[in-house]
Amino acid sequence: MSAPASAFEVGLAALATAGVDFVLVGVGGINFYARDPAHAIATLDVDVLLAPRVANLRAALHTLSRSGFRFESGGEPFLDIDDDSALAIIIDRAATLCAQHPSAAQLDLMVAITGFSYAELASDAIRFEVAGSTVPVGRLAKLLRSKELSGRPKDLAFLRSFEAQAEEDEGE
Amino acid sequence: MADRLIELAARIERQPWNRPGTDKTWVLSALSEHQKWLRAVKRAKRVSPR
Repeated sequence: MSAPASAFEVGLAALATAGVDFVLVGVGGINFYARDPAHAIATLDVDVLLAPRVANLRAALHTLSRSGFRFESGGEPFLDIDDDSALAIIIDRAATLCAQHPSAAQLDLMVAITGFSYAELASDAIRFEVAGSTVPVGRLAKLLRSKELSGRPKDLAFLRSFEAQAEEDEGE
Repeated sequence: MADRLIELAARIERQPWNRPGTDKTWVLSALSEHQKWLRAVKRAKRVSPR
């Protein structure tokens, strides 16, 4: 008997099935390239880059809401999922919405990422299967480059660690 | 970005487990299990030593 699907799987499969335009990025996206769980990097959430359009953001929020997710923006509950003007502000400000599930699964819904537009990431994304649905994941070099361009110390430390670990894995 | 990191990314993408269409459900299952483990650790830390 297989284990019940996690809220991560349910949420991402629901987005794919609903036709929401998105691509996975960040460490959660980078983990899709790992050989197995032993080679994955610990993280607490999955970054979902949405095509920055009001209708697409609204569709994502409705889809995840039906899967049991609730939303936060800047630490406050975000309830305006039907308010197009509020959604337009999210896009204009390139704000991130946190989609949280009671199981503690968290999807960070982003409409912008450092260094690449949505179109640039989506155009050559690799499509993997998740819980029977097809999920696009940004190309590994672009995800790493985005971290480099962010210039944040934690991202630069991540890159050094990733490179060292990957080269060690290649030697196995 | 350093050329070696770009080459490393390309080599990783070419691995058989990264062919398009590969089932990667395990990535999310592992993430979920990791979270459960973290929650269990948090709970364990709350237990009184007495």
